[in-house]
Amino acid sequence: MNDNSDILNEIQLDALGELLNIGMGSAAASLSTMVQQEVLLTVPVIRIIHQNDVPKQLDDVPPQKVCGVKQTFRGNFSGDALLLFSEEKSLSLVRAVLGDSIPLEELGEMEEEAITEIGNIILNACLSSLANIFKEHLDSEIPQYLNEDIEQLFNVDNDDDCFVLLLRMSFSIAKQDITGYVTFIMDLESIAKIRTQINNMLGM
Amino acid sequence: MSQKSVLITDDSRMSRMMLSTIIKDLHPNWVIETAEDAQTALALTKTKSFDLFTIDFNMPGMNGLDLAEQLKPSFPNAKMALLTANIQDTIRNKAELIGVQFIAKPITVEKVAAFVGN
Repeated sequence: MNDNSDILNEIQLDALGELLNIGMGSAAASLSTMVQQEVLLTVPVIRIIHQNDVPKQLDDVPPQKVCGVKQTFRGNFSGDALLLFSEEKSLSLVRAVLGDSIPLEELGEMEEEAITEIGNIILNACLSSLANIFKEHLDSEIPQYLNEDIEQLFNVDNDDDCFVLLLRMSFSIAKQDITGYVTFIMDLESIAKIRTQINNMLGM
Repeated sequence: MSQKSVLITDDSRMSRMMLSTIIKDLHPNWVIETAEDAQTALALTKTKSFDLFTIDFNMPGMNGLDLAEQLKPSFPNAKMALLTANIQDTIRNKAELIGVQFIAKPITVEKVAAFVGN
């Protein structure tokens, strides 16, 4: 099951990587508008793994505490989209977006709401792009602010369907030394639906 | 430009603040009201009149498109914009269908100025 090719073949993985590239390109453009500087993206990583193994896949040394936003989406395929970065970068990101328009003393107070809205914009840009390519409609739930231990975040109790499609791309804003991740977590049923969508798109 | 009144409906305080600041800078004499959800917006429109509405799509409770549809009959001449991060074609098309302008987040001075006028 850990072998991606059991579920998605090489062409399907390549197509999914390209779709993620397009979605993240749109998200990066939104973030770039917000911080008014260039946002760099890494090559997408796609893995089908046990959900408990997700933290190990996020970085060589995953941060202990992460901060970010989770947005659950539902449609032909469903799952969670997450924007994550290490906790200490949170305020830097808020400062990069809001600039000097908010007094420093109010910035901390605004942090949670600002991060939630930034996450909402980034994740929706990416999700919307994927929905548009697939000619689907995805309903997004209200974004949820996260600030917790990374192991806790991906800890699942039930063993029924805890293999997930991990789509990961990291972005960085050089001037602020901020690196973050966008991750999609989908169960096997949704992965199968994505595979069908890709096959239709590729005429397979 | 003559004084106008604007109602900003968005569940994000950051978005409400940014929009208010941009509109105030463009039109210092305009009256700006804010609502954090559709119910609050609807309650405000019972007692006040508005010339422009900016409405977020994804909010707790009623979504922005449903709110716009409810407001349209009472404010047939008001300008309305759906200002949202949800940039799916399905949402954009629905907005156009009910005569609501579609503005993709993130919020910028240029996008807001194009909607409210300089």
